[in-house]
Amino acid sequence: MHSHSHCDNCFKINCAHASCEVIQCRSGCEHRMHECKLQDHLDVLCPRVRVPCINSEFGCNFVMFRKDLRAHLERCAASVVTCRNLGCFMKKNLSVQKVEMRVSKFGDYFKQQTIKDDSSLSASFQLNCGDNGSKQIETRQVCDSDFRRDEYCSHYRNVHCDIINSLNGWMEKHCPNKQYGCSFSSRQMEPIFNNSKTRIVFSNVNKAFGLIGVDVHNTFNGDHMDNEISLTDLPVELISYILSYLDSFSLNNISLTNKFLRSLCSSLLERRGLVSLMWKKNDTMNWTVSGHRWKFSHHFSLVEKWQFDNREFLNHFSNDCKHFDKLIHKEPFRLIVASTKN
Amino acid sequence: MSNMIYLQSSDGDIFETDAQIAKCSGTIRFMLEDCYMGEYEGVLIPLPNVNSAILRKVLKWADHHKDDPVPIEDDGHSVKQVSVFSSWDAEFLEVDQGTLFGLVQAANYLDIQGLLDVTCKTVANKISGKTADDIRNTLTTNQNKFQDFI
Repeated sequence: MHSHSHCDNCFKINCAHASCEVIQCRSGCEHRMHECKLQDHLDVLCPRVRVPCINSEFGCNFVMFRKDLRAHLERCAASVVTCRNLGCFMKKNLSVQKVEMRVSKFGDYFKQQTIKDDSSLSASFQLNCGDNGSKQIETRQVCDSDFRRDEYCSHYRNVHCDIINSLNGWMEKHCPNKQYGCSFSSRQMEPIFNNSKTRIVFSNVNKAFGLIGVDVHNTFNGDHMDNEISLTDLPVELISYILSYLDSFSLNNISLTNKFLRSLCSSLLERRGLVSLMWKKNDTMNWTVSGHRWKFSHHFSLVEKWQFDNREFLNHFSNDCKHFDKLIHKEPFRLIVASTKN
Repeated sequence: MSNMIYLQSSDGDIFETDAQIAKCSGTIRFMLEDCYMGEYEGVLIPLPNVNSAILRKVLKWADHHKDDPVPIEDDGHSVKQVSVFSSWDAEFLEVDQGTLFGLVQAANYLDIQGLLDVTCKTVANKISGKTADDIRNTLTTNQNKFQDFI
């Protein structure tokens, strides 16, 4: 075996050195190097070698050419970001009585805000009890939802910047007569998506926001006849194609309809979902990985445009609200007249 | 050079159309070019999987989109977005559920990528944002055949 002291320092692609020939990489990447360097090239550098994702120990199963690794990592299912921003979410099974008891210390003002039949968006959220001295109960919670790295940006912008910050008073306005018992509220800001009107909804099941289209001609409402074709009658590849257009929030919902659709959604997990590790304690009281958990995040499509429309609110406030203390005079009365010097 | 060909639906109705318009369908294009060797004036093509009402709608769509550029194939790896489609298409697809799903199946059978994309996007828009109960009630039937599907 001769030493390769020449090869250690040589990077000529057409080097004529006799003892160690310059060859072309056999994977097809067209790199040329001394033969002794081929193995290193394949192990570390070659763009056309199939390698597992660098997140494979975190659950990602993809194997791809090394040259595609960068593009894959932007969408890698194991590339999970947990949102630690503040967002107020109320647990659904928290009874109204309990909330009333907790806030009744802070006076009637807060008690009135937990009206039971209030179906507005902000009623689904835990109220910020505000600064009331040392007896304040901290009620704000952290968002704590998982997102894939490429989804996080639009989640932050949609939910934390736009929705939560504008929920009380800007996106959704309660009638100023609420303190007198009026339970009216209306949305003033609606997202415009694909040039059609949409609404923000809050799913109590998923504890997350989503986007739903407001159909002018909503022909899918109501019960349909039994002999009509349904989504599950379509061939499997067509249903998969349709599902590939849905956002993660909707994929979560549709996977709860029946087992067939659930299994179809699960085939989309590798491309659209997240994977996280599940841990358990073993005999020696160390933590080990007990499995991988695949799921869809609560991401919905980025809303670029919002539309402001307060006509519904103004109409209610000026015409319909019944909680005004109206003073209606039946006879003419004298206004106070400013005295004039005679 | 306008070759007229005839398409027969499953109901037996015959539709006359320009061959160039019908060629937006990969299935029909294959039949005309491979089976008839390019000489297809007056040929009748039976389409047993498409009924008259759906075929009429498909031909209307094909006629409106006859000047569209041929779409590039995507690599199947990018996440599909429900993007904007034209207001004509949106109005064209304001139909009942049966017709919409019929159009999806016809676009698949006839291999018309543009129509398939736009109908699938429409169905996705109808599903998007709804709760599981809503979807179950409006878009699926209550048949038991899928209950045991693992």
